[in-house]
Amino acid sequence: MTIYRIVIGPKKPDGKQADIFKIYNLETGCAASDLRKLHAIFCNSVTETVVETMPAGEFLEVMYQNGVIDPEQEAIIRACGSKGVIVEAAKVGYRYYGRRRQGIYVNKLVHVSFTSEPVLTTLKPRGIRQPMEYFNLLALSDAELIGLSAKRELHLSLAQMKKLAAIQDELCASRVTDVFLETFAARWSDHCNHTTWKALGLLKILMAATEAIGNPNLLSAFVDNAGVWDFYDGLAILFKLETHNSPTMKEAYGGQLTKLGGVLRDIIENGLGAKPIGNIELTVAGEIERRRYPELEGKTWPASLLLRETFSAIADYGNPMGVPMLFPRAKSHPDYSGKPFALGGSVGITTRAAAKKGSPRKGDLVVLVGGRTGNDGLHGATISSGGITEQTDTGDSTHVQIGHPYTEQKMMRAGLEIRDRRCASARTDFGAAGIVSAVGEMGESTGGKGGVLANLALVPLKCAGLSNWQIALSESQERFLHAIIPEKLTEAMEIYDRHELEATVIGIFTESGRFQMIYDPAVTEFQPEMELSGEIALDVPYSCFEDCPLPEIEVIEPPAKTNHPKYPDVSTENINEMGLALVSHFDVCDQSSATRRYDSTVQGITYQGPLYGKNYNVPSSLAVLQPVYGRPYGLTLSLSFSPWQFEVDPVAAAINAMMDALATQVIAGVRLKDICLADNFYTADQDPYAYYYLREQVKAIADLSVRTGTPFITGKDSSSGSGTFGGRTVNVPASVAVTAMGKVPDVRKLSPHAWQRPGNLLVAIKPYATRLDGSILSAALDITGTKLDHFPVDAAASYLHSLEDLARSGVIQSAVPINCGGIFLRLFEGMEASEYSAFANLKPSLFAESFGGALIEIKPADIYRLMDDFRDLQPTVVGFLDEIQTGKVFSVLRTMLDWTALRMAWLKSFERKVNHDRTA
Amino acid sequence: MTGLRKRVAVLYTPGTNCEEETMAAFRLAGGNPQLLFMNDILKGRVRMTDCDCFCVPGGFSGGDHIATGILVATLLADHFRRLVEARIPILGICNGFQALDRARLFTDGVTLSRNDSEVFCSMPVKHRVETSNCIWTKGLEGQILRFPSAHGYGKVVGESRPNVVLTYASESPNGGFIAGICSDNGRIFGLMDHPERPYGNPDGLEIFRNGIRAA
Repeated sequence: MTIYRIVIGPKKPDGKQADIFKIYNLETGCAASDLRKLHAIFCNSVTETVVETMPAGEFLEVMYQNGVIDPEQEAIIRACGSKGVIVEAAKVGYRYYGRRRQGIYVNKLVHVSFTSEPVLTTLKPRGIRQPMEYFNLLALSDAELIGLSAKRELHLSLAQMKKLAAIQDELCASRVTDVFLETFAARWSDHCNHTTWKALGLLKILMAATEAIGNPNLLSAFVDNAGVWDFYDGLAILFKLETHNSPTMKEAYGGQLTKLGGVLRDIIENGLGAKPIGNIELTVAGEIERRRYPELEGKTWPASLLLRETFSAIADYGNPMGVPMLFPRAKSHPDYSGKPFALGGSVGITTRAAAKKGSPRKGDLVVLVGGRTGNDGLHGATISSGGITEQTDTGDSTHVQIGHPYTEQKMMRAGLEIRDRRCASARTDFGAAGIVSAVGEMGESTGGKGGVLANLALVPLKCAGLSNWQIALSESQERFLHAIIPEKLTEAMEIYDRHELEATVIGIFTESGRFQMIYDPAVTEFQPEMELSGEIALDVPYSCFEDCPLPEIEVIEPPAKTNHPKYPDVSTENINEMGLALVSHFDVCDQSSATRRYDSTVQGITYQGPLYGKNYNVPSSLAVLQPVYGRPYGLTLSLSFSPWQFEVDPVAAAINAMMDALATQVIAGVRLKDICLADNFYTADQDPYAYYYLREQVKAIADLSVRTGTPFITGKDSSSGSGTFGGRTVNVPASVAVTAMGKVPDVRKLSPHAWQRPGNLLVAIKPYATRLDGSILSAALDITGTKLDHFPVDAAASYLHSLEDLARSGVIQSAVPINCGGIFLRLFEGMEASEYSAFANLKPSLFAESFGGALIEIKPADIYRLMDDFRDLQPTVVGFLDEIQTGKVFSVLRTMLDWTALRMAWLKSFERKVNHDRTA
Repeated sequence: MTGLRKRVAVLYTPGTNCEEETMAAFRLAGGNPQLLFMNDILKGRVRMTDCDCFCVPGGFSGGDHIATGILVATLLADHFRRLVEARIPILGICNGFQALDRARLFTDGVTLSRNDSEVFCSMPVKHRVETSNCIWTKGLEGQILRFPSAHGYGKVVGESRPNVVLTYASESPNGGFIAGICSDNGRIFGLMDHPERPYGNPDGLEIFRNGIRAA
């Protein structure tokens, strides 16, 4: 085998020296003379040229490490093969000269870089398979048990390790395997087992609320990958959101890539299969300028770099998948500097018949489909049980996962055929803890008794040399698990083949009541009852997993906040200055350059996308899909999350988030009974008060859920929001993102965001907030509040029902929710989106944020009707719209604001901030 | 009913992601669209020429690896040649345009390159239909058609003068002014933006109707 390099450079008609080159490294047994046949593949002769001799001078060359399969390898091998050149491995490198070298990010966890000519001996991953290890837990002292847990990164407590020793004793085993330890560590991890939530008794609170509501739209909640909601004409819609905070802190691009890949898989493999039809993206990075935590400078990611990597990753995964982006947002808050909030989500559609979680039957085959298994992502589940530090941040490269949307996109199509031809009795995706989680959990329900046998020797590998526990735990991406009905196996394999997906039978579902894993290359056919052979990696009854010792969690109530900050009085003298501070804030400034990087119109079903307005740059609060061609039905989506509010009062902020998500839907015209919710909690393991806040948040939103009749049907929690860098631990505030998904019979009846007609009045609905604590303005002024105005819970249900009546009354011409940035920002955005001037004579506070309230546009003739019929909504006239005369006028209390300055500040802020680390 | 409609073959390769809306547009425009799997073509199960009209829809064929559209252009090179010889009208949308470009079905010396912004761009766009011999836009000359754009490699560049069919009548998503070109005989049309979006878009449907009419 020889490694040849084909170098491609841009043509430079002006005679200038090229400063960037793409290098195809090919490991092949073919002769060098054969490679000329490949030039037409690698080189676009109109704009590029094949470079025989690289220029002299200093350079930086970057390519994937040997252990990482280059995503382009598959296409390269195939294209070369079509020309008769057999390539065994390929890696693509980029070489930069001169100023091009500056700012090139080399991720040492996955890349290798060169500043001199590289000497390559092979491009294939290498490794030596390690034998299985055995441990006699009964012979270990407490200290040794804890030491073993730490050494293997199991994140198991002493009580849990002792329980494992007891299980060894119950099984009458003289020793247990490393697979045994790793399996229990994964299944008892916070990620898979929600140990923190169970210990606090929280999960049952939300589930009980959902059950108590008894909404007839509910098809599936908290039992499968996603929550499923009834739609129209025998269809169902579903959604799922999940965080990927630790992987994103570790390696932002890869973490965000796999975040989106993971939630898309959750949709694809929910029930008996579904199609993703919309994506959701929210990332809260740390502070861009390190004012609150200067000691973190140089110790961890600059927030601006993390954000840029995020935008690239979400575009690089979401666009190839062909799923429209509905709701992208980026925010920045100092307390997310230790670990970001990396939330991703997806909505989908399926048939009602395929909506419910499947269950394998005895004799069904365990079929692994999609990507190959490698050593990436090991311990992803267990690390969610621990915080992240500089040590874990740089220590173990095996945590890094590499996303490959190409494979997942193929599965998105093939999966629908598998569903429609009823080939599978159950399906799931591979996420945290790989085979242990996917196969183990699916096997738990076989025939009502449980039982599965998997042969690890049959798992297709990316690289030789994986030990049993690595194969079992690997979190390699884009893998899918189907329980294929034996009579349908041929049909299923034809579908996989047509979509060019690798599929392998690796085991069988049994009714043994046991989770069994072996390593035996000789066993390729399976029977429901068969003797275990080869290396027996795991053989335990499912009942053993049930008794996970839960941590003892001390719930400490925080002391009341007594010092209340002072804010500058907002007056006609300083309102322009305040407005400039507000619109420049990162969270609310013009982010359209990032939003436009995401395909928001693919599938042809987007009715209201992520941006609107004449300049297509104002963010929509409500995304609307029309998912069935030719039908008026709509799926609506809203999301609320303000880190500034959570910083002030986590419980009041949770109420506000939920009210905001709901009111955004209702004011547009969605019926309350047609809305369901998702919760994504995020707390810090090092914050002594986090569990108090978490418990109170859960109670508050469960209570509000019952009061309003809107159930939570999916959710996820992450309790590792602490990061220690430079000797400083940073804790996220206890926070929860609330996402609402609704349905409407006719999207054309929804109120638009954009202003409709000059002369119309602008009216605030329920502008209850007067304090600036937790607002964007307070953040812009660097003032941390202590007391948050929140929506009055007792009035929530009646308010939303009245809002529902108002939405159906025909009075509303346009509507937007009042949330981040308050009424001032809604006025600004309304002007930016329209061709109108706005004249405001405000009684309510301009900058306070009345989450749950709305700003509506009405015809002047309807004002008395609004005031008489909807008095309980506290309608308050804000101002009116007018034609543009000589220029746009933004007038507040008869003071003309500097529209051009405000607009420029809003337009320019984002680029400056996301490039802060490059310019600082 | 579908038996009377003209057969439209819509190519599906791993990575294609706009086939459903493209088929829906052809159906609305009066055609009888059928999905054609590349794998089936390569294995000899079906022929690309068994249709009245052919479309390569958008997506990321081959994962956009090596270069946009190159895998399809390489693997199906001979099949494209036969399609052209049969004078079957061909439409390439977005990644389909990129594949037809790399298969060298347009004017020599013209190709597609990365957007000036160096990133993907998704936005609404207005297009002006220029006077040309393109069968796909016959009768639409001078009209402004609105449909969205979503691509990262869509700027028409080169030393030769392309046969221009569409130009941008609003902000260009890629920095160029050409939005669509056709082959010298006017039967092959490539455009980066998406006339099939959203479902039922009357502006886009005009293009699909023309192609079916000419087939």
